Amino acid sequence: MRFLHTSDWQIGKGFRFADDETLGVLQEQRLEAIRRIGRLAREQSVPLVLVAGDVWDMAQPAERTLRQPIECMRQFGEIDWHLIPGNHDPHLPGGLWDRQRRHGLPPNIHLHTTAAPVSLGADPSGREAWLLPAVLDRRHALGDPTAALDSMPTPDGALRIGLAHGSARGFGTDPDEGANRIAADRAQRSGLDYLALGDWHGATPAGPRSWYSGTPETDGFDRGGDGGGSVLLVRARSGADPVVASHRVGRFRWHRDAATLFSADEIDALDHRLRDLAGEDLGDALIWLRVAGALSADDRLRFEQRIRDGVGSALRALRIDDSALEASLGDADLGVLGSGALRDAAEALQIRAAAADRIAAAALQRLLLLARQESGA
Amino acid sequence: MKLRSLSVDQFRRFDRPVRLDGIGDGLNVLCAPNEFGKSTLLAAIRAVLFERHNSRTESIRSYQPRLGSTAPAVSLAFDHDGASHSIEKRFLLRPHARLVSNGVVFEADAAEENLAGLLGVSAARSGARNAARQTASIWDALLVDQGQSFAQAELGDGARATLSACLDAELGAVSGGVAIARLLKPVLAQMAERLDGHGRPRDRYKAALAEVEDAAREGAALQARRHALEDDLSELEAARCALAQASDPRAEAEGRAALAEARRHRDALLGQRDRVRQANAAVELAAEQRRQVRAEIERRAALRGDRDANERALSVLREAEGEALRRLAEAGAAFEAGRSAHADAQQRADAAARAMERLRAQRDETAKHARHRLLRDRLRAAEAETARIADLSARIASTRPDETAIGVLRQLSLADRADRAALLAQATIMSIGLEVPARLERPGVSDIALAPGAQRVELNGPARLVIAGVGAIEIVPAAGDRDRLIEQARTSARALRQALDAAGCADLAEAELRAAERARLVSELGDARRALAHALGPDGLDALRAAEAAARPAGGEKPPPDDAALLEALARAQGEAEAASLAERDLRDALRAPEAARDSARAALAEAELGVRTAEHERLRLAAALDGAERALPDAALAARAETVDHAHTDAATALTALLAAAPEGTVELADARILRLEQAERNRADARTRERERIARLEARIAAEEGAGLDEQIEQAARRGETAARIVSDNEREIAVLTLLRDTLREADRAARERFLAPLIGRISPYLRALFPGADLALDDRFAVSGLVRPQGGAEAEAFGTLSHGTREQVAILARLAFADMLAAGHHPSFLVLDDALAFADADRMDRMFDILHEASRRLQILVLTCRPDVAARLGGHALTLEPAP
Repeated sequence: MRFLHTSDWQIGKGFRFADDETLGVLQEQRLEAIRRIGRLAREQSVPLVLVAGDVWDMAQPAERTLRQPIECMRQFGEIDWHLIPGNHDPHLPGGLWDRQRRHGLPPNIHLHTTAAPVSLGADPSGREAWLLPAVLDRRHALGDPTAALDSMPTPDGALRIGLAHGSARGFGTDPDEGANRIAADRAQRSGLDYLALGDWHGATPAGPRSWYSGTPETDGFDRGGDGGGSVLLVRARSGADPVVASHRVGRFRWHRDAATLFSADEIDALDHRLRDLAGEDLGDALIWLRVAGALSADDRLRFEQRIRDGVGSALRALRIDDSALEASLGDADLGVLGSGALRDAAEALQIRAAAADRIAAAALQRLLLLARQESGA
Repeated sequence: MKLRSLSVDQFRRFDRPVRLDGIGDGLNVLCAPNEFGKSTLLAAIRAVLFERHNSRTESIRSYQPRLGSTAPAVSLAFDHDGASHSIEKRFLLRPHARLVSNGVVFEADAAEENLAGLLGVSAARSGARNAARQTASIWDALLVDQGQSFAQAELGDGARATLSACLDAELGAVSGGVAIARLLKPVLAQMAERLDGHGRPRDRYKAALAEVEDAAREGAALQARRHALEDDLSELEAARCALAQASDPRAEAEGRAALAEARRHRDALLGQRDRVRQANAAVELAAEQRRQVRAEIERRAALRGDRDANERALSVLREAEGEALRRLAEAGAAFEAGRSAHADAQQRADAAARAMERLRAQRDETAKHARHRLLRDRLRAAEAETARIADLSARIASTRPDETAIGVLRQLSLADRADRAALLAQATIMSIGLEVPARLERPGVSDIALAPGAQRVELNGPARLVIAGVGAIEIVPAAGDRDRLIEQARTSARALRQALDAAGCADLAEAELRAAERARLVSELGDARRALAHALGPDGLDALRAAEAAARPAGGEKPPPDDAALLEALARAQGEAEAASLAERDLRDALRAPEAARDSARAALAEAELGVRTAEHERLRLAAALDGAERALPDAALAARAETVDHAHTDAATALTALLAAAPEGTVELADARILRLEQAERNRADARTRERERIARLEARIAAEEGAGLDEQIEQAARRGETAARIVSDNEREIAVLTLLRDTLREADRAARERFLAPLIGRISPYLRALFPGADLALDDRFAVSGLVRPQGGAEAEAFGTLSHGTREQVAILARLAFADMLAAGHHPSFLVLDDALAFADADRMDRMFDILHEASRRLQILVLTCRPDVAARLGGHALTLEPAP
């Protein structure tokens, strides 16, 4: 039995750091990822896609947001899509799943909101497969949402494929650690041939025959696993470990980087590194850059021009944390400042900046830039 | 720079050419009266040095003496930097300029430019349109118009630049002040983009702050809607559950079944209750029967016991009866013997008593006679006293006067005597000594015969003394009320007489005697009455008579017997009677014991007889009762019945126990309550269905209206909007902090630099200042204006320039101008000082000191003083100038 395993589409997610234009693109690409999954399924002749929760980013999306992914999936009518609720879009009474049902669904889209086994039909070899869905009926369910899988009956010899959303390992920073916790050996306990998991946004194995697919379109820096952006093509085998292959479908690459800058050369090197990191299409890369060190006014201008303005314009988004980047008084700066009151002011600011006064450091920076501009003018 | 000579023609009040010549190096003084044209001369210097010759501005047109077509012309000769120069300018009409500089002649614009170069002003560069502005240089501070000396020099950019250049030259270093001013401009501009003049956020920053608040408000409102929606959704779920529950057919059927079962159960309980009631009655009946049978058996046993006891008691009682009879016989015999002895003793005692009685009767008779005698004597005394009383009463009645009458007589006599005495007192005393007898005739009164010899006659009325042979003498007394007194004396004498006549007495003495007799009789009558009362006793005469009659012995009075013999016999008889009586009493006492024994025996017998009778009666009753019972139901039958009844009771009790054990749970009341509850529950389910359907419809409508809005997305959008705005706010805040710090740091550095920079200028002013105000210091601001004065007597506090007195302000302002000029001169800049009518407010002392200062400065600097006051000019000294017509 072959199928695609995906999760955490998070349709409707807001990216607060991004400007409006970027936000629109990021949101649109999350829908586009669904189409790419559909196309991948076609290419791979896989008739089945399992979506392990968090299709939507919120429990109360707008009507359009609610319908958009359904419409994307409808375009791939020969493929059966199986969806379960996640912690972002739990199955609450009268919630989005009920709304969805009220709207009516195309026959190839299956919503699972009751924890009961469902037949997936037989694979080409004639082996019957059953889907065992776990259903989150609240955002943070205490206990293991997959516990019910143990006792779900399936015909003898049928493949048992679990579909669940929750944390098998727990994220260290998750404030609700303990909620939606899935036993690490759930696949064994429930006699599953494959357990398709959602919640973690980077693809990663989560125990014997258990995998997190990760989100198909990366939605943040540092998402763990493979960082997201892929789906898993799974071949489940009765009584044997599944064969799992990752296929990239995401468009955007999210990177974190850090640099320590003291000279123009280092700025140039950073420029090259960032462009290399972003790959061929810089417009598909988002980078969070942290810079430290100390730059003279000239170099600071260079940094602003080459990195913030240059690379920053090429990338989809460039976040720069330069709070640790200080100003140094180079010879040129000293020349510009002369020996009078301006020099005195710069020195007064430098003394404060040396005592970790970030405002003073910024003021010094500004003074140097202004003096430089004045002298050039 | 030194001025040498000045010529003016057709310039304001000078419509003829005049010339000021021979201006010296140091202090020059032009003293002239008001309206002379001193200020015009200063204007002419200004015009020739700073106004372009071809300018036609208002001020230049004002140079013309009157509205006319003359051409104002000024020429000035001066030395500068070791060379001689002269400048001539003609304005308005064929304007012209000519500068001869060290022998080289410049005409028109060339003259202007060269002149400007000499003066260090930028006339050529800033264009000719506003000559006044061109002179807005340090020269404004040095050419001091009349009335301008009170104010500090307003230094324009050019003037400050000139001074700064001097100071920089003196310091030998660039202050950087200009650079700071240039840098501050963009800093302030950038701040102004974010904050308005009051330091309040503006434009994008302000909008972002509002946006943060707005987004937070919107977010909160959306969250509230979101919660309301959640509440609605969970309420809807609850309502659906409730409806499902209320509509559950199984629950319905169960409810009906439960109700039917409850009703059956209640019926069963009701049947059970009846059966238990019947069983209880049966048990009670059997128990009653058993109790009756047992009571009968016990009663018969008791009867038999009683019968046996009765028989035993009867035999004991009969024995007691016999014993009592025997004791009665014995006691009766003993008693009879005692009674016979007692009867004898009684007869004897009676006889003795009778003897004594006889004697006692005799003695009573004697006493009766004695008593009668006493009564008879009292009666006789009473009758005697009665007679005496009658006699005395008659005599008293016939004796007058009585007590009252004698009292009246006594009073009348007293009154008569008094009246007569009064008459006598009023009487005319006539003392007569006649040798012959005479007669005194008194009309109405008896005549008095007067014998010879001396005598006194009292006359109470007219009288006539008749002396036989002599004649008669009429005497009339002069008393006023003599007639009344005479009448009164006559009346009282008449009253006395009548009273005495009534009493039958001749005079009062007789009346007194008779009255005393009568009193004695009255006293005697009292004695007689007391004696009668004594004899009569309390009951009166009739009672006494009756008592006497009653006490009168029947046989008439006898002589009294011998009472002593009688008394003796009586005592004897009394002794005998007492002895007999004692004997009789002893015997009677002795009779008491046998009598008691007889009575006791008689009582015992009666008791025994009663006991026997009672017991016999009881025996009969018991026998009858036993016989009746036996006849009604023989004992054997009774025993059999007892057994039967016992069995019946045991059976009934067992049946009841079994019934109770088999009873259904609960009570009828509980069963009724349950039925009510189930019926209510059924009704409630129906109500709940209606209610929940309504609730669901309402909630669904509300949810449908809200869920399509995508509240979570809106919340996310509001949050994003808020965060974006918050980032802008925070960026602005940081930017403002950075700019503020930069601005403050730049200003501080500038201030510190300026302090250093101004030090030389202050150094120049200070000697002048201290010459005027010993020990004083001053502060200059960044426009080279004096901002404050610190004087030793004023403490460390700087006095602001504006608070100083007019005089002091003027003096300080002149000193500052002097210092500027001094500094320019030291830096080889063109410089001289003109003061027009300055120091008007200085007192003599200050004026002298100012003059000293001017003199001292004039060693380095040319100073021209214009004044209208000859005294000032005289004290100032210096080189005196005069204005003369030009040749």
